[in-house]
Amino acid sequence: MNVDAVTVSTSPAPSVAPSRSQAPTHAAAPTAAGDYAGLLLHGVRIARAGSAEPRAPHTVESLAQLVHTLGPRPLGTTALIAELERTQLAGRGGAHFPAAVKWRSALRGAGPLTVVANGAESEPLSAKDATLMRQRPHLVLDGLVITAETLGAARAVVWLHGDDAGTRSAIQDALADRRAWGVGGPAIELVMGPSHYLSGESSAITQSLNGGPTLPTARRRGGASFGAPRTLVHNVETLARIALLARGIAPAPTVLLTVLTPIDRLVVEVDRRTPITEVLERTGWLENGPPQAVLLGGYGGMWVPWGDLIDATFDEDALRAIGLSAGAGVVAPIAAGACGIAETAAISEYLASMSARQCGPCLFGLPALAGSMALLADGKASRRERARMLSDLRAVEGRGACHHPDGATRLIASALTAFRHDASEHAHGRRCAGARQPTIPVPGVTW
Amino acid sequence: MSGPGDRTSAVAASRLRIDPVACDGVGVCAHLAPDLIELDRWGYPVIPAGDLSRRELAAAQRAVQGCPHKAMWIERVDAPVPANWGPAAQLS
Repeated sequence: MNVDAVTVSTSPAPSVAPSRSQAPTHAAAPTAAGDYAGLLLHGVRIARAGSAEPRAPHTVESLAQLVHTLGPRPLGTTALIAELERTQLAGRGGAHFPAAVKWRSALRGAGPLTVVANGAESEPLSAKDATLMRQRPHLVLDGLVITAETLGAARAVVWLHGDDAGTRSAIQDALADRRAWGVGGPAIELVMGPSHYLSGESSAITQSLNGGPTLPTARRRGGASFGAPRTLVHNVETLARIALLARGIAPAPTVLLTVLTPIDRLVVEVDRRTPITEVLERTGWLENGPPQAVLLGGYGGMWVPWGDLIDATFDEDALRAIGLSAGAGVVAPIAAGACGIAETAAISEYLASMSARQCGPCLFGLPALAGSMALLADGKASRRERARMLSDLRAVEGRGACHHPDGATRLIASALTAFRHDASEHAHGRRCAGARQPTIPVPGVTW
Repeated sequence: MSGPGDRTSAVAASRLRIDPVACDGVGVCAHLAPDLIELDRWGYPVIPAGDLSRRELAAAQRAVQGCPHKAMWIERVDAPVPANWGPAAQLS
């Protein structure tokens, strides 16, 4: 396995950093070469659906341990801006948007700046942000404080889903730890947003922290005025990597993954050059023949047939070169006997239900698409229905204020390609035998 | 409907923009600029993504002025706008 800092393993205590045997208990030390550091202390197993609560006790890095391992938090200085530019750090919320571009945009204008650590992990399958915040809350908080200091922010906010009690207590404990040590620097506010799917969307967070509803907004004419409040929203893993960069430590060339295994979910950190098939093998997916396809990137991601993944790794640039993306690192395979059309119909229905109901193409288009997919899954989609679905896919894409509808169209379009044989059978009224029940968990869907 | 060839006239690059949150699907814009704006099957306007020609710009101005929700505007673009423009491009 092509892993330097961390490994993935299916042993009861998954993923142990090789450096751990020599390192103190907190294990996140830079490697022997001292040139980079990983993010997670160890992999965790969590339930196949629901909260990110690990099944076994996990390690929590205290502030004292972080300082012992990596040294005290440096002050945020403008040198960090150059460092972000040089390293081209990409955001880890799923869009891989360059962090330096966000910083430049935040530096324009003169209104009070709020920096947000976005820990509202909306993708229901994903648990990597919650796991990172539970294991290394201080690394995330350091990244938030350093960013706020560098950019002269007035507020530093940790934003979580309202129902994420586990992560909330992890952050509260860490804030108490910092108070006990008398840590200086900008004060950190913990804000519990709504539990809605879209409350992790950056424009919704921005509007909410400026006193409005937690709903996505569109960019308006000419952008904000010079003195208007500014908000910079970073994913929590992005901030953890910034906290390492600020200390002069290159973040490990890794990705954090949430892998749906046949029995549970595994949150793990792997080298980004790790073959996707290797992760699937080590999570038990090859024991009864290879999976049929993988939903890469979660509900708003895309279906990739197994055969297209043979040579693929988690290197995002390489994935994008072949038209794929790992998004925020969700890997959800389905077995050979599952029905990709039925899976997609269930997820589409969920995505339609999670629309903010603001933009017409999303408000009407997603339920229409979900309805067409449900008919197709039932083997009852007429030729006219199928034609309408294709035309709706084109009509919806790119027409929302946020990218929620685009995630749904990407999911459905990729299903029609990846499962084209099944789609054709369903179109002729022949449903997949014995595979009517979806196998990928969807919130609110019981079976 | 004007083809891409129409968009090469000397007018500085202008694009028609819409705030889909503000748009309520009233449809006045499609009446005022029928060659530029079509309505989807739910009654919401489909805005052309590319640069406006001089003739399209005049139609776009009518649509902008007629919108009861002030949901549209015309934007001058100096540099090519990335396909993922807008707030969602800021997703962390």
